[in-house]
Amino acid sequence: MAENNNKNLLEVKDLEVSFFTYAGEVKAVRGISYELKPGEVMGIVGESGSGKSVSSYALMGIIPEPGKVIGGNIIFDGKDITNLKEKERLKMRGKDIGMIFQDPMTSLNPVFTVGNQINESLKKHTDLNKEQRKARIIELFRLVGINQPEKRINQYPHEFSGGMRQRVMIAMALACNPKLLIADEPTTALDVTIQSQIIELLKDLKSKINMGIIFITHDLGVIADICDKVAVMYAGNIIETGSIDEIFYEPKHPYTWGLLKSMPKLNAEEHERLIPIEGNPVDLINPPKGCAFAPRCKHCMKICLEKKPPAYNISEGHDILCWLPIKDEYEREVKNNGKSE
Amino acid sequence: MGNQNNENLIEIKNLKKYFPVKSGFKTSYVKAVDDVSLYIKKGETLGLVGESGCGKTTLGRTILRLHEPSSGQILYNGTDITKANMHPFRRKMQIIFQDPYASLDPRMTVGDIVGEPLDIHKMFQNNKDRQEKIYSLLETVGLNREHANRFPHEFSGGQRQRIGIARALAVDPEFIVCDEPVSALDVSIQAQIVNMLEDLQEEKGFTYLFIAHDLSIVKHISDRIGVMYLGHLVELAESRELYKNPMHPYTQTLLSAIPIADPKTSRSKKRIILEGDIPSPLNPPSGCPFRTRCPYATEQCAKERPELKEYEAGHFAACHNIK
Amino acid sequence: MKLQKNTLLSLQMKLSPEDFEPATKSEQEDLNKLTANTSYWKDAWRRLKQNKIAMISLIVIILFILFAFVGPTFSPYTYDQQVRGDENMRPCLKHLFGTDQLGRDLLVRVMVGSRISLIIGVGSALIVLVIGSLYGSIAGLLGGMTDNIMMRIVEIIYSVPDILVIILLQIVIKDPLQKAFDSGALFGGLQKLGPGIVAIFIVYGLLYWVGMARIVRGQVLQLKQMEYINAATALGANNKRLILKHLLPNCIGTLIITTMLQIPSAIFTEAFLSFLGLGVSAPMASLGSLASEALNGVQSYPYRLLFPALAISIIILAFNLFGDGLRDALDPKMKK
Repeated sequence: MAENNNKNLLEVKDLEVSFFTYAGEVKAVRGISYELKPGEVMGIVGESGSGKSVSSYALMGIIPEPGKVIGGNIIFDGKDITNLKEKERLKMRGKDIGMIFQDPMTSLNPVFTVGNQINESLKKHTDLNKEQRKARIIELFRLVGINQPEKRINQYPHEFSGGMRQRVMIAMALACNPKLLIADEPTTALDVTIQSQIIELLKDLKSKINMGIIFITHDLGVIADICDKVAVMYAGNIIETGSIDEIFYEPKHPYTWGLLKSMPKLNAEEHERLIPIEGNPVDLINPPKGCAFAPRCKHCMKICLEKKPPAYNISEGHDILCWLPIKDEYEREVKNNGKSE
Repeated sequence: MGNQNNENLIEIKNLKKYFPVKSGFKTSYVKAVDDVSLYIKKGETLGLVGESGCGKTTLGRTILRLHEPSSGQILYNGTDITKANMHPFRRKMQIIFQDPYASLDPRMTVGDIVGEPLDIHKMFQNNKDRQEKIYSLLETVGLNREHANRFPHEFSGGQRQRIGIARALAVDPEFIVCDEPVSALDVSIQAQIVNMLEDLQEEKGFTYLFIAHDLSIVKHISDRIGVMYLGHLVELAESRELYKNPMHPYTQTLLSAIPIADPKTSRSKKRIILEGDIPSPLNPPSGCPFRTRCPYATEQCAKERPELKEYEAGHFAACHNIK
Repeated sequence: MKLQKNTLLSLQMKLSPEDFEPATKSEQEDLNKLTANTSYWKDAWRRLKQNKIAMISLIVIILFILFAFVGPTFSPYTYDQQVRGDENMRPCLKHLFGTDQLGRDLLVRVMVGSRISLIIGVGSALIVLVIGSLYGSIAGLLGGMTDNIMMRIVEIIYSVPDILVIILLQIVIKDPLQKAFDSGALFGGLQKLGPGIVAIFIVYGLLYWVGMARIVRGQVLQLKQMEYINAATALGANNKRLILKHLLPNCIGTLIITTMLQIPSAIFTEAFLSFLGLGVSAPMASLGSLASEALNGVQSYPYRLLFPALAISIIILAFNLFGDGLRDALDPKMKK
């Protein structure tokens, strides 16, 4: 286990989230655990349907109907927030935990000015007076790189471009100095040149403000750019988690290998054929009883079809959910036993 | 990548596509494609990159006459098709769409979707042959015949994209516009589709126009790449050349903005960060379209629009500041 | 479950060497089955079944159809049979609904009247469906100037006071229709229904499709943005194919709902017209004409008005409630 130098900001333990649809129970998150320290940026990477977004909605208590947390704990800042009452959640949302979404247009109210919307949040969560609030909003706009903040706070969301709207969202999320920022695919809807602006901004904020960031994306490139550690999700499980270098340079899970290999290299000299992960994503209503990745895995073994792999610790902070290293260890043990007898 | 010869399959000359926008009594125009000329050789893949609103998708669709061109010329195999009856050419030119959810009719079975082009062009008189053709098309794209009776919503994104490809293949086309065919797919599935497109090209000698905003995919699959910005083609070069030696400042920015899945490189990499946003195509800047965000813009850039010129063999760019 | 370091694996779980043999391709593929998905119709039926009011309405409608179409065969009387000596009877065992002044059994007349009302309702709704959906989808698909002109025509028809036109039309077309009927098999099966009903169909065909046309046009405008329409165009599909194979099948939910809600409105219009004396001609009965006849002696024989009026109310209510339920089931987005 990792030694705790300082206290964890967030601990998620065996979190399970299911959607109860008429067709059956969709197990979107199937028991994930992770920790986050203040000032740390954790990336959650996964494909659509891997449960990466749902797991963070659970932190905010905004899982859409008919979803429910059915197991596990979320401990934020030393307090269990798994089953908070709506009233207490409202206090926490926006104050202690800020969130930015993929599509800023749908999360901004089109009939209010952006300044007005940030003001609402400040009014609710702080006891600043009117002047102080305005000053704070202008300060926030400067922080996220919006020019002429005095003028811009009186404009409506449609007067902002996509990239600028995302900056407004970030300003709004940061308004009350949250301890945790959840960024759910914040750059996916943006063009590359705008994406790089936002990533630079978040990197800059990360060094200025000591808050934990959970960065959810499907883009490994973005992860490599901004995160300290990464959790790779597949079919509701974190199948590998480790520091950024461990995941990119010493990945141990076949799915992580596959993900890294299936991306075209921009600097390839010769034309290299891509190596895809064969097969299709799992059906979450009837997930395989063994390892969820087994049907697509090139290293699939008999046990993978039958049993879910236990968490295996490779090195400190680097865990995977796979039978492969257990196979090696088992074979080593058998060999040693043979020798000693 | 396909084998190349020097015959041009597609040639477009000064193609323009303006969309009218009415506001009150005034009609203004969105210049989605503005004076673009290029050619695509038989058997090659031409990649087209650019950000949203740059006109790359409109260009692809205008070539297929899904939009009527405002002016300019489109030649297919030497025949002018700008005003021609497209029906016979629909069998030669096909398109694969970005959104695998919206591009398949939800009320039709997979068999009927793939069989529709066969019916439209009355390719089979007898139902049994038609059915066999559908099965063989499904098998070509890695699906099986049992899938013919199912509906699109029962499939995953990657499988749906395969259905869309099977539909395009049904008429035995020569030229296929791939309009962001993998952008909506998960990374692990993208590679499956890209590989399949490459295999099909090798086998059947297709010519592709591959449109995407993801430069790394485009670079992987294309022989040559065109870069578009605000309706203009700003650079066109052989793909490795474009990557190694980007001439236009916009191409340079685009290349540096791509996030690379390699933490060490991204830590050491210096990014060119552009100021500001893409101008509205309703009201594009005078002169060079990129000048409002270009770090090297001069007075000349505001006055005249740079022509697309050949600076090295096969390497074209439209910029005043290239020596 | 998490494995402990520095503890022998064998102490933590039971493993055998066979566990680590590679799995075969077919074993892997067995996991990869497509599960059966629910279809659009099954899904809609499931939602409909959950809606109690709609289900009760559906049962009422079915019972009513049985009442109207099968009922008369069990009656000892026919709708135009005048039973001597039974004139002006109150509801009794012999005549459950009583009789009118000519000694005709009211129960069987209400049954036959309901039959006529249902035929008119369904027939008019179908006419509206065919004209409205084709007109609307053509306008929506072609767009531009064509759409502009076609929709202006719709607005003109909308703005004409319909009752006035109906009365006018009824008078104008009644005579030529009657002549056509007398002269022979011009209308085939319609002959049985009589010129009054045919006149109502014509009126409906001329006036009431505009609502349907507007709704379909709106839907087509949305649908034609869909990528699969582009795909079909790129494949060389012509407009006829686009409308019949792609656009209308994808409007099917709206089409069914609008048609369903058209039925009670047509029944109501017919009842209203017959009440004014413009509908079916005697001795044929419709619910409206029955109510109209009953007015003469309403103070002495209120039940003569009560039964047809009740039938009209039940049938219109049932169709409206069922139509609403159907909308929720077929098009969950429209619920708001």
